[in-house]
Amino acid sequence: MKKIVLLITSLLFAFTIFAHGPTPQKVQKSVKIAASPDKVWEVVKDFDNANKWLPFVSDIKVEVKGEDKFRTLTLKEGGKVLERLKGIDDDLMKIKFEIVEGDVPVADCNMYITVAKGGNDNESEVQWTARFYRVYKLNPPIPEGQDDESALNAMNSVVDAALPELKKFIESK
Amino acid sequence: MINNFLKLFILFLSFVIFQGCQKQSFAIITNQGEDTVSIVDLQKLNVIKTLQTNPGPLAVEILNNLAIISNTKNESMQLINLDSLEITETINLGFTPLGIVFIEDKELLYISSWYENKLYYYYTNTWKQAGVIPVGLTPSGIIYDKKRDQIIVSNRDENLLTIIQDNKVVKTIEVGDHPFGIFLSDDSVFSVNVYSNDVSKIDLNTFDSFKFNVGDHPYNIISSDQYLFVTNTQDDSVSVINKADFSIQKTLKTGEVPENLGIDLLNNQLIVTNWGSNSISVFDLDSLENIKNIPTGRESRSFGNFIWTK
Repeated sequence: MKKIVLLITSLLFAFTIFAHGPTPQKVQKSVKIAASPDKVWEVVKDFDNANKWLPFVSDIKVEVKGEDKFRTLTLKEGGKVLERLKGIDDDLMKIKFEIVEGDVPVADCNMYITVAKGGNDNESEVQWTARFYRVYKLNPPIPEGQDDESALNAMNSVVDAALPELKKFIESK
Repeated sequence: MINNFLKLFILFLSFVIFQGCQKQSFAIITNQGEDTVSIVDLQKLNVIKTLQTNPGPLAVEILNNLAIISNTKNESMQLINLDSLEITETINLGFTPLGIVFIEDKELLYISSWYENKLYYYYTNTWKQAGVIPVGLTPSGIIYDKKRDQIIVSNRDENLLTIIQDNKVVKTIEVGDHPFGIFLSDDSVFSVNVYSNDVSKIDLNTFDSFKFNVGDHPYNIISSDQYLFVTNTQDDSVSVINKADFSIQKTLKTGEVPENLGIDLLNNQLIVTNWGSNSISVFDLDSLENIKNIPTGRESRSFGNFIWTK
């Protein structure tokens, strides 16, 4: 876990949504949870209190500006990530949010998490998808830590760490 | 008896002729996340073949019975023979290609070089480079306006469209924020502006322009006789725009993160590639109902003309 947070926070590259390479990167992972979809969705949709299960977050601060809701995640190993809620769809059981800025080496990062019925009534499948670009958009040489691989590693680390914690949190309730 | 035999023979002959004349259409789907192309039969609505490509296939253009694909991670383009469904040639470009357009009358293929801010063009009879045109930043979409014999390019990071005549830039046009997909319809060029969530319409005779809003992070656009269709990547939808007043007539639910669109005139269908759900969505153009979602490959994209009819 520490390694993951270190990976994200030690890079500390300035984030800008106006700069990215030509190929969007994708992380799409899922986990099965022994609980009903309704029970799982109640946790997943709770944008304001995701620090209960996001393992690398020490604090969460929620702000509403006009029609937009934002959350600032304070990372345990230092650094912050500002995210904007883009929508909660109860029918589809889908929450969408984006990284506005933060200490993650990605650009234009849009994410969504869905909850679906698993193999039986008491099982759910949660899928987390992220679409993002690397930070550096110009010709090679690409500065270290701003390439596709760094962006992918960071987002893979986030999702790989978060989904097992979500499972543990819900199944222990 | 002979009479009956003749009738049967004529029936058989008619059937053979009908079969021979029957047209077919296919979608050429680039799956950028797994370096493959799926060939989809648009009548049977299934994948009939998957081809391994060079790394990062993205754009598609059709040139008679060839599909040209650009490989963004490999600085190459590849030719697929659509009769044999085999990759027949790989052409090393020496730059990262993005959009492709074929100009049939001139037998030239134009390809945008994303990082170099240039447009290269190639003879399609020899595949030798014929020339290069400097354009604006991050050239993305390319279309050919046959009526005015001009090429139009979207320059994503400069919020501009570049107009090229006689292989020289003759005009630039300001559009919305982050233009990517462009399309020509009824003497106007339409530019999809990813960050401003709108579409710019520019009259190519008067250069009058206006914008209309669509969904979140729109990506590309195409037109039928009646409607414009715009993909909204972050809304998992297609906005159906009335061409008379540019109002949103309907919103179609697609797969996740829809990117590019094709019109299959033969089967009266709209085809949408879904980058997020690794599939294509097929809609009936009259009812606008979703007919089928077909799994293709990881990160299905197909930027450009990807429908082939034979």
